[in-house]
Amino acid sequence: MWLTLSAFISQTFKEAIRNKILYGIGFFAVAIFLFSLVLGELSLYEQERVIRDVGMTFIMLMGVVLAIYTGVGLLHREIDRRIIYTILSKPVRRYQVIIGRFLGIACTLFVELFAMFSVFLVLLAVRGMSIDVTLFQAVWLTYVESLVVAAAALMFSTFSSAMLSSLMSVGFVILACLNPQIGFYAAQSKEMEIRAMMRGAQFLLPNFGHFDVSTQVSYALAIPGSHVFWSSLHGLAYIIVLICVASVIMEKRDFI
Amino acid sequence: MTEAIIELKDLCKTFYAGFRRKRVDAVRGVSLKVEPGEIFGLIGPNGAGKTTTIKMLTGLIRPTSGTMKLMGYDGFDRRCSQRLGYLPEVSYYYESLTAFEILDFYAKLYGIQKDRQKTVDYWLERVNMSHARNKRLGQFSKGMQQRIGLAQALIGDPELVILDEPQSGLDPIGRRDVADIIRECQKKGKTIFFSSHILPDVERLCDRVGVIRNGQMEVVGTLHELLSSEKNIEIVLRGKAEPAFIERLKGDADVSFSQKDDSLSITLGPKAAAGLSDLLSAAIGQGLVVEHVMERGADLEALFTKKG
Repeated sequence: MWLTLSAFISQTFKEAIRNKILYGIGFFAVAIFLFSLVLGELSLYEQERVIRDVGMTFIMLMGVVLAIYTGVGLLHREIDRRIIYTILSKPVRRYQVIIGRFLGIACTLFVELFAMFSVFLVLLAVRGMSIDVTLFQAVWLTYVESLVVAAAALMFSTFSSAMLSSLMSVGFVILACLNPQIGFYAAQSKEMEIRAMMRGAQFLLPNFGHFDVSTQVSYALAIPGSHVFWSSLHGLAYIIVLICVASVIMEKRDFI
Repeated sequence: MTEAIIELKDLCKTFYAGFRRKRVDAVRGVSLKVEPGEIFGLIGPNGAGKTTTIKMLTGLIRPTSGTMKLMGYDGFDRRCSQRLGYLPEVSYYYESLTAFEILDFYAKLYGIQKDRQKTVDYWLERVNMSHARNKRLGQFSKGMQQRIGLAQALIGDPELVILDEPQSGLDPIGRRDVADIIRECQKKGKTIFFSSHILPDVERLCDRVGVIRNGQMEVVGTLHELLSSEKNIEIVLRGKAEPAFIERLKGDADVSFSQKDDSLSITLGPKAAAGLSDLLSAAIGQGLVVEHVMERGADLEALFTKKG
């Protein structure tokens, strides 16, 4: 079991870090961080706030983009290029493919996000700005959020094309970000059916509001440890559910 | 008596394709047995159901009906896959990995822990890919990828090797190498089940052959059995044949003939061959000279293209 999972993790990681597109994203990240310095210069007395805000928002956005790109692309490529045939005919359970791939993506995202975060910290240090624990908590929550997105993208790619999976993943992110608003409109609605539907959607979707600590980051406010813990647990619960659903779909499908 | 390594009985697979869910019967009641240690070749035109049958054998798709016994297990049991090696028809591998890394990955999937590096290097050597050990697969030609594909199928030392078009995309040297590996596997007691379009290779390698057409197994047997049933007899007669004799030839669907000057060439199919002596007596009776009578064995191509 562990040998199989380690095979998937190392293969996923190697393939991801050798992908030229990611190098492009890396250069783009550095460019954006430099741009945040320029924006900081333009905003009088708010330099540090703007730089922290732009930098962390960019890391969050890149986390989501990379999670969708890797989560959708990996399994889709394997199915499209028929690599999956050679894997599933080996003594491997289909759920192991999903778990192995997810863990590989998790390792890749960890390295990518923390590489970007390191560059960001270096920039802050060079500019003589404060580096506090809030930044580390924020990047951790961004990482958990991107893992939930990756699990959803992986789940969508078990039954749909790359394009459709990407669209559904984007839709999932948007709805997860709007989770608190869905709850608000459900409470406002007078129609019983619509209220039930909205409550159902709110229950089924993760609440990305838990991972959004942009205000605390901007103003260097402390984030309670319990918030980080419960938000991480919230993300983990959704990851487990999404991976289970992906495994069931994978188990049922025929590879024509 | 040894148990068949593959036993299929009335195996069917139906797909529902497209938006309108159009029914496609890809495999319609395939039955066959493959004994341990034999090389079995599955041939048939494109779309005959070869790959679908193979995918059912490898657990990639589930049969709609019928029974399948693989290495003593009912249906595709995960325990079979430890003893199974499979090369798909057209497959590509992870382009960013090197030849060594890719085989190491598959070796891990087989659970090989002890001497894994040695095993990978042995198979790279065996498929003549040692020179490309540290090259990424993205730089490989189709033939090189096919060799890596063959190595990944065999790296777990499987009992049953299923190869779907193993020689496609290979040059004559590559084809010879694959044929050598298949023979070597048989010598080691492995069973090989493969499909191919390269009929001379099938003729050279297989102990038994199955011809599949329109999702149904048309014939199964040893090459001798299949080809002897397809033997023709060629006769060349000299002289002017009477119209009644020509009419007699025309009346038999299993007879074909052609006339040129005073020479008459006749080909008797397997069914008409029984009437050879009657036909010759009639010819001699009307003064025709028998110049040539020869039995011509059919080849696999004739069998393959029959009704095709």
